[in-house]
Amino acid sequence: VFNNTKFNDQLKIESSKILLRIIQIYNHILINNEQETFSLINFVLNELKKTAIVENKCNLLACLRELVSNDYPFSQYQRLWDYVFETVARTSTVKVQTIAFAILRRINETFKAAVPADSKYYASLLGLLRGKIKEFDGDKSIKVAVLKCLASVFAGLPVGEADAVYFLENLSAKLKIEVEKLPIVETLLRLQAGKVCSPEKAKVLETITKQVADNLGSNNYELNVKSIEAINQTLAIVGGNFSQATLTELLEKSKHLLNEGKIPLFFRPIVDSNPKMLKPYSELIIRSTETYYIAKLISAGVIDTSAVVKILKGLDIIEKGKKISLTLGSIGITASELLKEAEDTNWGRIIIGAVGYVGDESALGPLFKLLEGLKVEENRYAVCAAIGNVVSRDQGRLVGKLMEAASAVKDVYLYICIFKEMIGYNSQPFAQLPQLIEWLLAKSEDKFEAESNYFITSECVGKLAFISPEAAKLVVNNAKSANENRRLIVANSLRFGLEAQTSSDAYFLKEYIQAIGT
Amino acid sequence: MGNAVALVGDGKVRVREGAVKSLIAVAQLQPKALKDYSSNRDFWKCVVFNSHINDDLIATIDYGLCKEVRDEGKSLRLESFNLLQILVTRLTLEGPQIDEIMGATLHRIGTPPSMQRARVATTSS
Repeated sequence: VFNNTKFNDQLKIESSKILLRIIQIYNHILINNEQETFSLINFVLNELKKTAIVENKCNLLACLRELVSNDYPFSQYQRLWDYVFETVARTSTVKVQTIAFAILRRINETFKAAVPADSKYYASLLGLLRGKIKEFDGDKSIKVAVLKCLASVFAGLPVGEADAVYFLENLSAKLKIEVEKLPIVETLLRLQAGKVCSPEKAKVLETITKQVADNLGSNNYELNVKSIEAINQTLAIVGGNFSQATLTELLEKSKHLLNEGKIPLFFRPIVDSNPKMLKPYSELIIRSTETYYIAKLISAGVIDTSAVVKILKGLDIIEKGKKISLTLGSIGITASELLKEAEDTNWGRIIIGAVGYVGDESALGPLFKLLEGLKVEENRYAVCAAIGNVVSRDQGRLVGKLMEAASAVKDVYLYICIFKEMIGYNSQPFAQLPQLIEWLLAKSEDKFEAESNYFITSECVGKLAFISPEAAKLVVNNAKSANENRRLIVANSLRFGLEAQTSSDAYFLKEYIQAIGT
Repeated sequence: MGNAVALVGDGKVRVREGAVKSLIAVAQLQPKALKDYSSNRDFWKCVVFNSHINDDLIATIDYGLCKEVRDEGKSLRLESFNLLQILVTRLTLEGPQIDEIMGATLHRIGTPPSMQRARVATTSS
């Protein structure tokens, strides 16, 4: 079709559109085939050189954007980015430039971890962007494409102080333009990064931060969030150098957000350097249940523990239960003091959760005793979670003792729940890991009351298996077991142990899949 | 099957179902880990087999006044189809596998639920 000389412009445009659609739909298959991918890239590049029709160029450039993938080394895309650079430098057409910048951004985001910061690629890209940000005229879509590209470049590249000041000064002047606010703030976020902050950079940042704070009342949620992130990051870098007046202005501008309890992590650099400044906002901070801030305010003497507990009791216990428990466990109240209030009520459940965070081995006796007395199922489960939490901090000593205790009782489910909770709090290897896996598998040989108990056991086993390759091997070996329930646990454990961040190359994942699938 | 212990082809239906559910999790979270299996005929055969109605898993329980026809393989079939659906969109397939999967899918589409029920009843009576 592309070589057909009888095709008119419209037919050529339609052909490139179809090619783009095919690539979009079948990209996941194409990308697995290196030869096909690069022959397609070369084909598109050749077609781009032949065509002068803008729409056709745009479609073909969009094809290139889709074909960038980190499955292959960055160096293989040399011809592609050479062409895109040339296009950005030479073409004045808005649509073509916008897509070309989008491709540069895509290349950046795909390869940011693989390209060295001092590469020729970054040097030429930075030079290109310096020019673009200085003139910053023309169509809106190009401006946004340039800003987005800039943000993505700085996401992976350590920015020199001179470059940072240059870009910040140029961006500061443009923050009043509504349509560009979000990409500017995103770029700003990237630019601030860096351990060193020169006085020149601090000065520009102070001005630009006050401008960014004006976005906090915006109806645009994303702009709000990014602005807060940008201010937060700026304060973390230069907080101590901002004037008192600027800090007060920032706090007041963000007060309504705290009031909504939406984004409470805002004041971190201030609470670290000058917690007394946050006194007017202390009640709002307690309501946010952000433990770090509350603990800081208590240690600085801005608020006292009893006032904190009083405010926490007034919060929505159902919705914020776990966070309140964590807060109670972080403000210096001891386990024995907490246990006095551990009753079969909603507040009691919060207290039990807090015991889990502060208690040690000595808290286990009272917690097990509580299990006997509590009637509300949710509260009993909270005790299991608290015991799991306590054990997770001393697995080496306590897991063995717990297994021993479990062997002497009939109700083994409680102990399985405790171990499940324990792994949730700490997934580091520990001495009794193989014994615990074997214990769980041995328990599964018995007939459980409900099928769901096998799933809870599978969850425990799966999570334990992913702690270390040895543990995984131990579990996988049970795929050959003559006992049906052991095999059931192995079959189900993979789905519970697997997480999005597990590497697809993980040795034990391969072992697992082999045992399950082939 | 390349390995006699593969749980997706286990003799017990609940074990097979667990294995299929785990493979779904892998296909969703780590499809690359299954890349090598795209050309493994035994693997596909097994998944396709699990998506078929299996007469051995249909049992009639006689309560005296009434009878219940229970299909223990229903959940396994649904999960197997879920797995097939995810795999065909994430892996590059070869001709014979496509034919096999098409065959299984068409067979399923060609057997509407009412007929499936009738088939279950006929088998159990």
